[in-house]
Amino acid sequence: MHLKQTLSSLGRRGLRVLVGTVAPALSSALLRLAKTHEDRGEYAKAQKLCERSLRVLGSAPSKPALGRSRVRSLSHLATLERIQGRYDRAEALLREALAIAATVFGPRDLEPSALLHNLAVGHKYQGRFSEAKRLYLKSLAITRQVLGPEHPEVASIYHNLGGLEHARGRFARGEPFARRAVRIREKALGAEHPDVAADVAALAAILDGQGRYEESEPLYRRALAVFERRFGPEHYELAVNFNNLGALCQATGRDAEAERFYRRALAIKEKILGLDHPDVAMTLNNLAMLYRSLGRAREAEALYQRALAIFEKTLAPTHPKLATCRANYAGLLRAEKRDAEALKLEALALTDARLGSAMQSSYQDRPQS
Amino acid sequence: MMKLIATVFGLVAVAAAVFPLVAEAGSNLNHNETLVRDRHN
Repeated sequence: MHLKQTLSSLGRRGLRVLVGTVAPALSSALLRLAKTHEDRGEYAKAQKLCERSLRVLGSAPSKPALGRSRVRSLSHLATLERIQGRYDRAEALLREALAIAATVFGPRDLEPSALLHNLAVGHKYQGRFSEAKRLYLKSLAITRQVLGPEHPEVASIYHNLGGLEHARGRFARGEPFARRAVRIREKALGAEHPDVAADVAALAAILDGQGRYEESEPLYRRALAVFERRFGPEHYELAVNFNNLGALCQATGRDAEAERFYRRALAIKEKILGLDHPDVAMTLNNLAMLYRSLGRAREAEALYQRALAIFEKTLAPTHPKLATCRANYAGLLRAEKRDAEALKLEALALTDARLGSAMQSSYQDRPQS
Repeated sequence: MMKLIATVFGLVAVAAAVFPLVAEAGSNLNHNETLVRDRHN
């Protein structure tokens, strides 16, 4: 009896050792595969692999290796939710991961720092800019301290700090961050790396925002060439840069070219993100602006209505993208002397802005991990 | 028994070598996408 108990105890211990060793390796393999699908724009497949990784790891990751794997699985899953426009779900996953990371690794470790970084990206897309900035700076301090100032992870945070200023329309303030990201990552990874291309594209958008079209256009095209070589013709990175090149062509009076770029961006986005994604709405708004400027008011109106319906469904009422799209549509209505309809839209924008300012303060009151 | 244990640990070692613990993270680079606004607004 005593021998049987000893053997059984040894067996259980052996099984725990085995799970503790094999599960993280299996999780890592599943996450790598998920990244491959993510790179192809196959987000649903990538998501299933992340969920499988979480199932492999179980629910009580007390050991660091299991904890690390669980944190990374949750973080990767959150990224996929965010890419697909499900910002609240992404945030919930990241907060779950942060709770584990803070317990297993402590607050000054790279794992919680990466999660704060990821959370900040989500806040940017939700229009929660002040919170995003605070989290980026916190993550930057830890990452610089642990990895050194010239590490590609540091470049990623500079990239996103530039992106935050871009989203706020403070383009000149974003430029030094964007340039630093390009310099650090290009030195570390070489000019052909897709992350360097992403930095170059982000810098192009910041220059574009300042009206420096002659500087930004070659950078967009350089980034597009890298993305096309690496990802093929239907990737999200291509869609974003086609959209931006469309806007640049529109701003420089090349309307036919602008329409072609917008149409290509829209086709890719609708295919890989679905019809109701906020990024689809951005290109719909831009195409509507182009059609309006060309006197194609009926087509423009249909596009504005579709864009607004998506933004209203997917973004907080306070979001600047929603406000911009409403103002653009109201502009079309005013130009057509449909003042009552324009007024209704503007009143709605005002009500939502008030509600939004109340929500913004409740967001800012929420404690950060 | 010893053979079985050795085989299991051998397989674990191979798995760990093939799939190192540094997993690929999802992309955390944001995108600076242009939303055109009406200059008259």
